[in-house]
Amino acid sequence: MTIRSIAALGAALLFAAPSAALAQAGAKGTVKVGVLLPLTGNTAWAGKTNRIAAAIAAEEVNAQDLAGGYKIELVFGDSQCEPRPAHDQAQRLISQEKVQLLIGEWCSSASAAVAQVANDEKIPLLVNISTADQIAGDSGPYAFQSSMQNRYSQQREAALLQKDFKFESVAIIVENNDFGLTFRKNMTALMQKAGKKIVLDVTQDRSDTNWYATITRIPAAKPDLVIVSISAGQAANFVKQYAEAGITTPLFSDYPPPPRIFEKQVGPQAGKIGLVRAAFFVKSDTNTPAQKDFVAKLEARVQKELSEAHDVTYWDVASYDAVRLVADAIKRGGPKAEDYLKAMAATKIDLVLGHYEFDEQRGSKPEGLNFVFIRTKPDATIEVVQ
Amino acid sequence: MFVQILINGLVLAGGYALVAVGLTLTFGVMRMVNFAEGQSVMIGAFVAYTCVPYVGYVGAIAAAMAVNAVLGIILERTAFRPFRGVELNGLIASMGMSIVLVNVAELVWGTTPRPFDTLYNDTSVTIGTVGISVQRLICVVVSGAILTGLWWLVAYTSLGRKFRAVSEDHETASAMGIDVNQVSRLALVIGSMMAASAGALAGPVNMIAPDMGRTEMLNAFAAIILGGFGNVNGTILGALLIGLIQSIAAVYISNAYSTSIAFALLVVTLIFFPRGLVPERVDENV
Repeated sequence: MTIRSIAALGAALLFAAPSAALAQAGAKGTVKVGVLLPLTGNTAWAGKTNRIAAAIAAEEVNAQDLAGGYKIELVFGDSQCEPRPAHDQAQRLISQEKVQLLIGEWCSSASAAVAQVANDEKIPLLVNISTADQIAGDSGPYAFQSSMQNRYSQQREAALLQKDFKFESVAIIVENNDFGLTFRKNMTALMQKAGKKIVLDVTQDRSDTNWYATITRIPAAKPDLVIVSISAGQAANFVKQYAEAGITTPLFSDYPPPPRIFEKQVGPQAGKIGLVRAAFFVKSDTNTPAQKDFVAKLEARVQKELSEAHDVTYWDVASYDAVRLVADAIKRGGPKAEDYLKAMAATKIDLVLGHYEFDEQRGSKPEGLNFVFIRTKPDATIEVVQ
Repeated sequence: MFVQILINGLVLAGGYALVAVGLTLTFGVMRMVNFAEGQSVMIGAFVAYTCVPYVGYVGAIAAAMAVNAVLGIILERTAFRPFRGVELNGLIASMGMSIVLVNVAELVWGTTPRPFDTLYNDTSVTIGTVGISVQRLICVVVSGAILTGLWWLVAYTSLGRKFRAVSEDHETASAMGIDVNQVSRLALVIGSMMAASAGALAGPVNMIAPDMGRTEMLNAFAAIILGGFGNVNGTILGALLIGLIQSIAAVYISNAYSTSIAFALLVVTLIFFPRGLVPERVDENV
């Protein structure tokens, strides 16, 4: 064999290796995965970038053959964060688009509706963003929940609050929806167990933007700490009105309004009152290499597709990780529902948000997942507290 | 705490009254309900938000009212005049326009709720233990001034007499030389301008988003029914009661059900006063 022929063989092998891998993705066929996101309505601001994050994950899965020879094709449905559209879109994806697997939705009530459809139609579902307790456990064997459930995040919050704040009495203020009421129940039990006195307990109509009536009751109750669980748009209203009222009682928010997007809305007011809140993810110097890599990819892509600067949110990460989780389960079990469900139950994988494993109720084990406390500083920037 | 409750109730009532009076004026003159009034509130808030950096807050309120005046003309030509006498079609057309306005706002301003801060948000007057921003006080004072102006216009001006004439019998009014189309257009223009002022005043108190205006619309309807449909004075009284009841109920009963409590009282009131609290004859209403 001449040197020239050895060089030619070497070059052929060099180029053949990656092309063989590329050829393998899709060799076993294409798996259609339905992704339900709010693409219109008042949470569309999140859904649009979540969609891009999911698309990036699918591209990587196909390029690097991460689904064991299967190619993934995402089909999106606009579920609007509402149960009825979510139910209808899930039906459409299954009956018309013929998806084999589902991911979504964003709001817990909508995810519960999708889980019902998934179990009726025997189509595996991964609930990746909604955090209400037991969405998977209560809905049947076809649903898994990769997001951290409320009961786990609230246990962490209670522990972190006792470590970070000195308080004996609390006011608990929530929205009158499943999210807020679950929080109220869990946090009340945790505070009572810790020997803290609950001096104000208020539930507010979720469509009522006027929080001022509630806020006027705080000084009279004299709590050492105010704990709230209010959804994104309403949280901004609350913080704005809290600052306006000049109340100086420390404020902690359970619900994680998107860092920086929230600061653009009410940064000065949040900074004025030193708002501390929980977050599953925030872009910071303490991010892992995988997180930094994802942030760079998504920000560049959003800039390109939506022509806007974007600060990566937890929901973006959860959308990316969900597609990777699905691909990993397909790789180990294939797309057939029964095998796929077994593979998903046996998941052990490190992704952007952390380490994923599922418990017997098909909910994500919380230990490996990211969870931080952040504080808004007076200049409306964010610092990671814990 | 009672002063805060009172001012909070007046802030709510002012917003409801501005929307409700616009609605009742349109209904009185045209016998048609403008279901796009809530979205006119939203457009007014966004226009004011956009104009504040250039013309200041007072100028922004004026700009919002001017833009909504044009919107009123467009609504009258597209959703009302073609359907006069076929009220159901007009109702559906105005519902359609309300959806169009939401979509336009989503395209122009996006779906993310935005802060609409003025100089008066950060300036607070402390009463008791809680601060009240000057912006809230402005809401109360300016709403009162605009409503007083409208009452005067309807009661004492030539245009007000035309409104009342068309309201009583538009055919007779037309036979007597009143341009019914022009009066109807002016009713919608004034209604839209009132909605704009409601949006521009309430916007800085909360966040603004394309889906705002629905709560105001719902409560405005309650105020109208409570006051007597088509009756300006009764509508203002109805708005005042709804706002104050909601504010008091939120503190002393439950904030989770303050709207339900207000509506339950509305139903009870209507059992005893079926034509509202100010039961004038329909042909005297505007």
